[in-house]
Amino acid sequence: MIDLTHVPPVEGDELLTRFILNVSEVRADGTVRPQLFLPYKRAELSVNRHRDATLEETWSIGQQVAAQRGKTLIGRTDIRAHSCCIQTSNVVASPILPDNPNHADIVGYPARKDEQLSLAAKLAAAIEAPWHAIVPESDTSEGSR
Amino acid sequence: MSTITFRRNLESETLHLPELRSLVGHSVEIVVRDSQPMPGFEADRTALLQTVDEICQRCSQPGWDNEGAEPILTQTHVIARRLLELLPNDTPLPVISPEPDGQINFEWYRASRRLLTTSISGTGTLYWAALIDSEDPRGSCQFADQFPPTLLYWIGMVCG
Repeated sequence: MIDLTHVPPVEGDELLTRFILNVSEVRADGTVRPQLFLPYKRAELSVNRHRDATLEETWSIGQQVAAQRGKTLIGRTDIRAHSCCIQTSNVVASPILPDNPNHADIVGYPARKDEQLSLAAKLAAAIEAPWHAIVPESDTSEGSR
Repeated sequence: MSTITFRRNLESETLHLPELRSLVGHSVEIVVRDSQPMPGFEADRTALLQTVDEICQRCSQPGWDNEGAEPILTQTHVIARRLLELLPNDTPLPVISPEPDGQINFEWYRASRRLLTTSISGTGTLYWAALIDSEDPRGSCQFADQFPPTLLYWIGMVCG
């Protein structure tokens, strides 16, 4: 995980994870639905940086997030930080100390619902690979930054 | 569903459609849509109406997602049902899901960059956004007991 005492700004080529907690947010063809990137009540959306984290650590954070919300972790999807910079949106480091220094937020969501839907659809379309189901053992071929 | 759209000056009544008489002499856009019903459509629509009922039942209380979601209100349920009932029978059916702000989402999807996502609110406002390759139209319209032509157009662009 990132050093608690020195959390660097998010770089454009960093890989970010969005945890999937609802089956309605994914499709059977391996893509994710815009709903996964729709913020609600908050003007930002949580993601987790892969930087300096093992996949086991990333999955563990996902399990904690799911447990806090009384849900089951279904999987995760990865997106490059630069893909999150669309019109007004951007990614900023937002460490949750001491437990999760890798936490970040996609910020800059527009206020109007149709604009939010449009941004969420673009973020979902920017995903380069199928979403990963929660089977960490089969996922070890991936590297972490 | 195949759709042909063309624009022309309506010079005579050669189309033999008396409904068009008032438009003779005007420049008009003519949209011709193949309206062959899709096989099994009505059965699928009935099943989807049931899905809407189930979703609305499951999401009728505040916090239905364990994260403070707003309930789906009766008026939202009624509008979603009506919208589905009004969908022409040659049009693909959407995927339906609840949203934490108490709205109901209808999605028409062909690929990540070929989709229409629509949120139905309890006030009858339909918020929509489409991705058609590099085009990203979006907007809102008010439901007035007919299937909104704007949405029909974009469904055609996504699924046609």
